[in-house]
Amino acid sequence: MNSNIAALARLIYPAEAKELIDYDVVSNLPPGAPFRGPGGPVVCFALEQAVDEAALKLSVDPIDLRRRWDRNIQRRRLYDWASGLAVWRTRHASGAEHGRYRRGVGVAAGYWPYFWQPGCEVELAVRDGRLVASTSTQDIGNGARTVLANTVASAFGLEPHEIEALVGDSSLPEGSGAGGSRTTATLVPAALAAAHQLKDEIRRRSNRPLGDSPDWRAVLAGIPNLSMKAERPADRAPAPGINSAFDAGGMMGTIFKWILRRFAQFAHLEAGAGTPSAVQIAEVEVDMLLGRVRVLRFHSGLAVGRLAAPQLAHSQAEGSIIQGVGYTLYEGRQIDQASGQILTTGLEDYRIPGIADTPDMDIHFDESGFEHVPGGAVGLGEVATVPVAAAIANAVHNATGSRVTKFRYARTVCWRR
Amino acid sequence: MNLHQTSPEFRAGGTDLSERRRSGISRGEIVDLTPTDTMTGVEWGHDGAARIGGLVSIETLASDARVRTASVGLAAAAAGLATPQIRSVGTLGGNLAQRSRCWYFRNPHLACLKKGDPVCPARAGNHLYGVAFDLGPCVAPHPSTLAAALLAYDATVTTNERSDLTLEHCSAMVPTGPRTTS
Repeated sequence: MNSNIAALARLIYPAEAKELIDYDVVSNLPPGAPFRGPGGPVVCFALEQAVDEAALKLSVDPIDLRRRWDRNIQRRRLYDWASGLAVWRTRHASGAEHGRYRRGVGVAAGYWPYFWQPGCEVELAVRDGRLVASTSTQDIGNGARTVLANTVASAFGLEPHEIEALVGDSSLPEGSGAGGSRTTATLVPAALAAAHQLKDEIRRRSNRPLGDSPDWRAVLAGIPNLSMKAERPADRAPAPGINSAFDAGGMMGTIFKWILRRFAQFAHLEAGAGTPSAVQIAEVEVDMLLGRVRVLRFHSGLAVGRLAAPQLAHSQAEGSIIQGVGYTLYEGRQIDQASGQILTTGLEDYRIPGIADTPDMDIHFDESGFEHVPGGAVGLGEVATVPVAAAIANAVHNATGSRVTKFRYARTVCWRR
Repeated sequence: MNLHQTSPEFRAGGTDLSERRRSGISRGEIVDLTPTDTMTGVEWGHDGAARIGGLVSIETLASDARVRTASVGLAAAAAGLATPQIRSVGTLGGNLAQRSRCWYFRNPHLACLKKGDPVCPARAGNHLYGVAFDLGPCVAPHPSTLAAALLAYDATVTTNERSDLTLEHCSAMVPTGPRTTS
């Protein structure tokens, strides 16, 4: 219900060129959507395959074709990275492979809006010489604790393990929801603001000047307990050419952005400037006899600002690829048509990728473009999975010469031939 | 609940049984098997044939040097099964005697002949992974990978009651309780 497919398709590439329509199919089943970036992988699967098809018809490099119309600064830098990869430069023409096992390379681009949640707070306290950062945000795998600890540690010249990060308790200061890739973009600026206020307060209470860069470890050890709480500040003015994805979407984008902010009970989201973007290249091998698709290698270029927690960001980017591979090739809710009962209710029956299905993964981060966000970091959990299915489908076409128009039905391209 | 869900069951590795206990598909008494040397060992005859005990773990089949040389297909099938944890506790006997993986059997809210119900909704319903050849009332294939490899080696099964059963006999015997015919 309440499909966002057409709206999401409107916000990438110039809006004027697209005539979009979507509709809900009402049935006796519970609604379903990709868990990360709801609607996003579906949009890309259709749109990016259409772009690939257009490039083939025009005999143009698919990346060059996107460059012709895509004004987004972040994606343009990722196009440069992708077109420089050896695997892209040496790919063969679509359908040039013969025999049982055919390999192919495909590209797809995608985005997810940059959201942050107004009104969220981080409290930073000195307790017995230790720094404790707290907010009620829950951590469902988005690394909220590590992001808090890293941010506070670097502000005070300490090690992350020296910071205690408390989350997941509603008695703590109001934190952000764990959805919409908003957690990092909300917590980092609030934590930096709290660190700034705490330093000011410590300097104010100190009976001797602390200097520009004191040894905070020693300072903290010698002061009584105190705490400061800061709200997530608004962003600074963005650099020229950095717009919100919604601003690129014409009148509809403006209305959508206003609705998100106005009806706080539904979303409570502020759509900021800059578009977290992904350009990805998949290398696949298709077994034409058994209809099996293996993703051999996957190159993921992500423009998501400065990394607030580099190791976690890397892991998040890899997890997004694995989840995207599952969504494309394996996942599927099976139902009993007569009763509407869901038959795949557990991991026993609901196929997700295992380690043997996981490709070699190459992650490239482009860290610029979000300098107007305090700390420079935005979320990446959703944008990193949005184009995966489309990149795999374009690679299957490059390998076999056939289009995959349904998820999980790659094998039909083999049986048709 | 019916007779099939409350009848006693043997437990070997218990990997699938624990899942069926949780879902409520299995509710009868559990009978643990007391291991004997014959049940836990692999004996080699003068003709080079192996006699593999029912409680031999799948991991043993996958890693045993002699099995790997003499029956490479069986070892490969064992090595490809499930996960390392499951392979280390799951047994050959349990793998051969495992219950149907049919969604309708596994879902406590749906009817199934093997749960004693009079109908098979899978036959007209969602049978994406159903049998290719319709040879009996149940439309779910036997789920054992090891059975396929053992069939290829013309293996036979010996039980306390009978000796030299073919796998075909065994798979027909697996559903406990009264047989239902269409």
